[in-house]
Amino acid sequence: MKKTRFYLSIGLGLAAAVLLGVSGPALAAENGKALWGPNCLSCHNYDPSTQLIMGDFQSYSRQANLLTVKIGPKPQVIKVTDQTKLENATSYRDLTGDNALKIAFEEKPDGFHARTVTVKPKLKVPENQLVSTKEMEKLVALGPEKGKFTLLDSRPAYRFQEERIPGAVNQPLPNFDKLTNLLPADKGQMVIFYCQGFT
Amino acid sequence: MAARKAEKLGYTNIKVYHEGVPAWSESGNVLLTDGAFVEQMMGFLVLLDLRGTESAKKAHVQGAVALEMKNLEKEKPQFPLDKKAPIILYTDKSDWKELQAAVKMISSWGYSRVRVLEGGFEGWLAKNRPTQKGDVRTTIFYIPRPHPGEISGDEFMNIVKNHPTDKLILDVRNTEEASEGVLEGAVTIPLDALQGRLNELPKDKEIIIHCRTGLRAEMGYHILRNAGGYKARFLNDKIAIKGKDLFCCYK
Repeated sequence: MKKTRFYLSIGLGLAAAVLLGVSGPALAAENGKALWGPNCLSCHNYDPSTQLIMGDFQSYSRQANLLTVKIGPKPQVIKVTDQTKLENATSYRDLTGDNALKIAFEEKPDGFHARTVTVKPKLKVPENQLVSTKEMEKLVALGPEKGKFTLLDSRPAYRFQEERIPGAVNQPLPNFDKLTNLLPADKGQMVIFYCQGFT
Repeated sequence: MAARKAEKLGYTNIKVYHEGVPAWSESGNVLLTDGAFVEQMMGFLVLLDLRGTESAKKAHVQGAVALEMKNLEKEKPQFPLDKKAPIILYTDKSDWKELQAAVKMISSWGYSRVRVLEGGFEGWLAKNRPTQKGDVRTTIFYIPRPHPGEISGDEFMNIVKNHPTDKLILDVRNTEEASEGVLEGAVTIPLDALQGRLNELPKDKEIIIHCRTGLRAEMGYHILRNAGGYKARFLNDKIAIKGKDLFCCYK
């Protein structure tokens, strides 16, 4: 860890900035599709009649009441106010990069104002289909062959490349129909799906 | 969702590991990582060659640090402070069951991104990925991958000291924070007002944004970038400005 201590004298008057290039905030609303993240577009069809921002949570500043949403390489910064409704979460501070957000917004001269921020809810899975971490540990230790199961990772390829459970095969959800060959020939054999958690 | 689709195809024994990767990892279980990911992140992760120094000297993954598996516990103090640092372990074949204990131990120290290089050193060689011979590092060194648009602390300090005419410092902290001190020559616009006051900023200078922790500065960077026409970078680091004193940088 490097620590530099540095003294500075601060003048009373702020140096006047050269104010050039008066341009209004060029907001991206003219291309609404650019406000939908690539992951969202893999399952949802873009609907130009809605004013939505769809992407993964990136950061939240309490001091500025702003939310950054990851939308491919161009994150968007959105204002949240007391009027903004937050759905499926109690606080913006509880959100992490694993939370996908859907934001209904209004475009104002000072930026996007969120009307509603909806956190993608946990999907419901029938009780009898759930596998616990303990059970998974036993199965993974046996391996797919001995344990007689197929383990499928439904996340995007880049996530799979970064980290996966031993024995898993990648079958990104948007490509499910093209990748049914990854499922066992025997329809009675155990098939286990997993992803980043609850989605 | 995949399980429902498989049901429709007629599969009768469907299971869902609903808690998924985060729960798997939190329990100290092994996650495998691909050599392609490691190669792409080279320089910005902790790569541990657990075959020991002798084997590593013959050849090791470029940038790896050689540690003895049996000494791992003693090495704890030299692990990075950042618990989110990606830590990749490998041996010759990286049999994950042999590495399970090491993964559990390092995870128990609070590291959330401990992974095992799938295929180990042999798999790395088979794909002709970069290796090194001879001297191998035995001390851990970690720098996180800079975010797009990040400026180094050294360069920031240099700009603060020398006031180059082609750069402008933009302070996006709120008014209360700024009342305790502002850098000489800096323009202050609280982040929540930035989008509405973009026309106060020049397009012919590079705008160097700072706040107190880097969080709001990065948001400011995205606002300028999305507006188009501005050259900007931001300081992703903690700083403190008290009266005439600037304390920087902690990274």
